Amino acid sequence: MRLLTLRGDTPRPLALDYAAPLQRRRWPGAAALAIALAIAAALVIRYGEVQQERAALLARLDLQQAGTRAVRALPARAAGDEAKSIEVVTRQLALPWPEMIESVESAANRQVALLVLQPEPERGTLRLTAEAGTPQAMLDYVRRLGESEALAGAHLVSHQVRRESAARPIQFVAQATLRGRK
Amino acid sequence: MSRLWTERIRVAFAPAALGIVRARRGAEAAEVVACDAQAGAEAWRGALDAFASAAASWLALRADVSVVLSNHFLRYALVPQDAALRGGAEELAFARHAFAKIHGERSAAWDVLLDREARGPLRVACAIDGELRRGLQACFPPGAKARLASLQPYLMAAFNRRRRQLAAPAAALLLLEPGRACLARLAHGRWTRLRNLRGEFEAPQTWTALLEREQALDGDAPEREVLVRPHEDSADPYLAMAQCVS
Repeated sequence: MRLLTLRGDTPRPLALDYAAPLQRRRWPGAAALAIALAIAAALVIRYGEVQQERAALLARLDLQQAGTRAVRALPARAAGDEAKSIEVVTRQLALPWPEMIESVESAANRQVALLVLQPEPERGTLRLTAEAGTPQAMLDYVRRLGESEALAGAHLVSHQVRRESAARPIQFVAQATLRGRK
Repeated sequence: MSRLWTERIRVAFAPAALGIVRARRGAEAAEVVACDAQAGAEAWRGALDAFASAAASWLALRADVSVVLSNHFLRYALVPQDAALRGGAEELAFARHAFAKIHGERSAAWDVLLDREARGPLRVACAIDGELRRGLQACFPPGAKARLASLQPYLMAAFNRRRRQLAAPAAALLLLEPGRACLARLAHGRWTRLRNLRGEFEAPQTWTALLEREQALDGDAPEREVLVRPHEDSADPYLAMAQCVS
């Protein structure tokens, strides 16, 4: 409490300086300082605005580049390939798979093993790769394949004896036409 | 122009000596230059010659020079505040009139300053011989690197440095110089009495007698008061006077 009282009674500084009139000439410096501070403040504000504009432009640029990348990801040729792939799948899905498989299985016996079944929907054919124990079994299989309800025109495309195997089986490729596809 | 690397020179300007304290980049150097107090008709003539000689060697330096004027060269008065006065010019004229009433016609050649504001009913005014003031300022011609940054009474320098101690209900500031004593008395931080006396007061019995006499003349003063004596332990009064500039 006493300290507060003393502070409250502290006399003001004496101002009796005879050189003080000379010091008044400092006002141009003070004015220049004030102007410089104002300019500095304006520059700081402008800097903030420019930074915001720059950030916005960068964001827009990123968006544009991302859009370009998206467009580039689907070139015309790729789009065509994709369409073709879709078409192929659609055609394959449209094949009479149950009948076709039934025909192939009914033609097979213990001496013939089916390896690859490769339909070609655009040409309406079925190409298959199989292995037979004897030449006769191979020929009988192709004949039975042609007699089935779903396939016609079955014929032998190629055959080859596998000499690396001790049983020396015959690997052959046969082709038939899908009934109602041509 | 930056004053960052400016040398600071503080000078105590007294009749018998100059106390010079120079400070630059943390290093401080002090010297006392003797003056011829009988050099001219005015008591300040010898000191001004010595100061002009010293200042000539500083002109090429980037220096701020602060001069503390001995109370030998100043007159003081406590001027009542008058609400009827309007503006600084009228108040200053009133202060001049106060000096004229005390000192007569010779005060016409004095340069008078009035303290800007005061808490109480009295304001401090001081007066210096105009020729001395002009002579000191002429030591720093336009274009010189050194400049006269401050020209202030010893009372102002000492009071501003110790004013917080003068906030007591009753306080006295006693400034002793060779051949002179200046005694300011305040109550609750307000000026009540100001005396600037010629004489030898360095012996304790003399300045204590001065205090007792002034206390007796100031009838409303309480018995106990805080006494502030700057530089009572200093080795050299002139250097101490120079160093009290803040």
